[in-house]
Amino acid sequence: MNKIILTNTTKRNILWLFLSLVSIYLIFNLFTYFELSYLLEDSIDSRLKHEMEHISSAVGFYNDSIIIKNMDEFQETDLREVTQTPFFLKIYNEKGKLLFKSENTNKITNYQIDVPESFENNYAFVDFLFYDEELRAGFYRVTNRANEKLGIIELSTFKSSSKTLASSLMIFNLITFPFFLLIFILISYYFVKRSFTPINRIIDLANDISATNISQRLTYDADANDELGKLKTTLNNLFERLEYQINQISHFSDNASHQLMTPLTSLKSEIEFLEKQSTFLPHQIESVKILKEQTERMITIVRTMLILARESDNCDCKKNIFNLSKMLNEIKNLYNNSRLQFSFEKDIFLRGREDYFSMVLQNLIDNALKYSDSMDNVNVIANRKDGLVIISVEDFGNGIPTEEREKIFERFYRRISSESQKGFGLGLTLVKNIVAKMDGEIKIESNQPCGSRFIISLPAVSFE
Amino acid sequence: MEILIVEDEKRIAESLKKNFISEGHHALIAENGEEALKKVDSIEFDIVLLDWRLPKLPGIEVCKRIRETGNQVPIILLTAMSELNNKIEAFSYGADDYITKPFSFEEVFARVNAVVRRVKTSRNEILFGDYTLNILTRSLIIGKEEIKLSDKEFELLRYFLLHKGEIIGKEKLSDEVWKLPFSPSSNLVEVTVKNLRKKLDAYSEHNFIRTLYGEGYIFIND
Repeated sequence: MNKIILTNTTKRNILWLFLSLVSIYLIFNLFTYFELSYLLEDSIDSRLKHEMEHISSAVGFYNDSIIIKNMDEFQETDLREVTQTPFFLKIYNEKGKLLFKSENTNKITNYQIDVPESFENNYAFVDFLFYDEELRAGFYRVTNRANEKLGIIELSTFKSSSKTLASSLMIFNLITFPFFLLIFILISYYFVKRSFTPINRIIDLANDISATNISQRLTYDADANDELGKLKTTLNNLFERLEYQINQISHFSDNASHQLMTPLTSLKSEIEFLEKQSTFLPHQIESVKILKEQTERMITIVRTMLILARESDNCDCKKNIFNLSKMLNEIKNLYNNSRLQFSFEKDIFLRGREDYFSMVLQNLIDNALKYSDSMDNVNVIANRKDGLVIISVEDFGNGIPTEEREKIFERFYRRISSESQKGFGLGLTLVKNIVAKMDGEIKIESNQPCGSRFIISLPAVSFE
Repeated sequence: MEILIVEDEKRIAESLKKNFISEGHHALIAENGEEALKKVDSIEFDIVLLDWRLPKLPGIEVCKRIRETGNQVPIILLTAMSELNNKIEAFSYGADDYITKPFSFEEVFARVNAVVRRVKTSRNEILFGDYTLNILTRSLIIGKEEIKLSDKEFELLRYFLLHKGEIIGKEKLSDEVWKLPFSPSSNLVEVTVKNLRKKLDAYSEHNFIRTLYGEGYIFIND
């Protein structure tokens, strides 16, 4: 699973973007949480400080006792009751003797906090835990004008009030986290898809170019200096070179084939003339026969190469319709071979070039005859089925191993087992190309009990 | 037969000539278009075999010029595989048939005989199924019956016969037969096709003119 996600660029990018967003979110929240806690603590401290200053002004120290100058200060509810924000007050002298404690300290079990050792500007703060409550205690060292230490005021309060705010923020974060995750996924998905849109368009265009027309070029709006603009220029240059190369190859094959056709034509007519002479001895007749056979083989090769060379041409052959049944009849008469068994419906029509398709059938039939025993039949069957025309040529020879079935359509591929057979490895390439041009498909199956079956399926012509 | 071979490849011309002579015919060779035109002017040939790729004056040009002088001598074009896509193209240049290189002499000989026979019986008749279409009298004949065709029906049938096996759109028919720009609101083409179809169907089971949805019509003879 992990592997699949990581090999898909889109998914990988979505994942990265998503993880980045989540990390940023988490970091931001943690920072907020700690900052808030600190700020709240700070605000408790200043409240304690403020309160302690009031108290110190309301009391005076005198040896081991204190004098309360202002009683009002000690009448506040926060000092008498355990309210939401209570102040627990204790006043010690310098020796640590408790001089005073507020009323509310009696309402919770006695507690004792050690006085911190270091004071900063006469103040000190500590956290302490009393049962389950977290408390904050502030200490104020009271001094006289001569800076003599007189006593210590200890004032504590619950941290819970400030804690609640921080923890409710935490809870809010936890509850909304799935929702944020969802938003992050959507954002990541949207942005990655969006940034890949031009690339997908390039892919479509490039596919279109190779499939239909090599002279077509990528045309989309992009700044020539950005990545997409550069990609466009690069790809178009590549197509330019490809087109040139393909045209060169095509021209060469076309030209070579044409040049070869002329001598071959004259060779063939001369041999035919020779054949008609009656003055030959038997072994000479045999030679002429071989000459003729080899010339015809050469002609087939050149003709096949010529058609293959022009495969990039977009001929208007789809405008033509021919009668396959009639063609099969003609082929039957042409071969006049008792091994060939034909079975086809009447009036099957196909769209395409008649002469090319005739070569397809002849190639398949020749192969079937060649690769099977000279006693075995070869079946040629053509039927209409579900809007398709299915043509199969089946033999009872040795068959074709599964791993060779795709390769035999490649140019100049010769079957390992067929070294002894003559052939030049272009016939099936031609077959496949012509069938593909007619919007059809060709596949190979094993014939039962032995041999192979070539099946061509082509769209049927449907008249109104 | 008196045969003219127009071919710049000496070897091909010579062996064709040899073969024809051995079959008991007369054959002359012209190495280029101009020579061919001169020979056609002075001698009455039974058939002309004309190479497509000739130096200076190309085969089609020679073909056109022969026809321009009103000479109806049968012409067979010799072409390389890729030069002509079908018979229709050959016909459009005024030729009677075409043979692709490399050919066998038997093939050439068979085609020559077929063309000569066809042209001799009547240059002005086109046969399809059991029907005969006479170009001069503009009549359609089956057995001893003559079927009356309107002017446009005749033109349409002739056009179909020249483009057998080829899908033809309504726009093209309108252009080529009626010489009118096609208008989708007009059913002129449809009506004429329908009438012609009715007349053909009355005497024959064979469905000559077929419709391909969204594409047009096709004339199927086989």
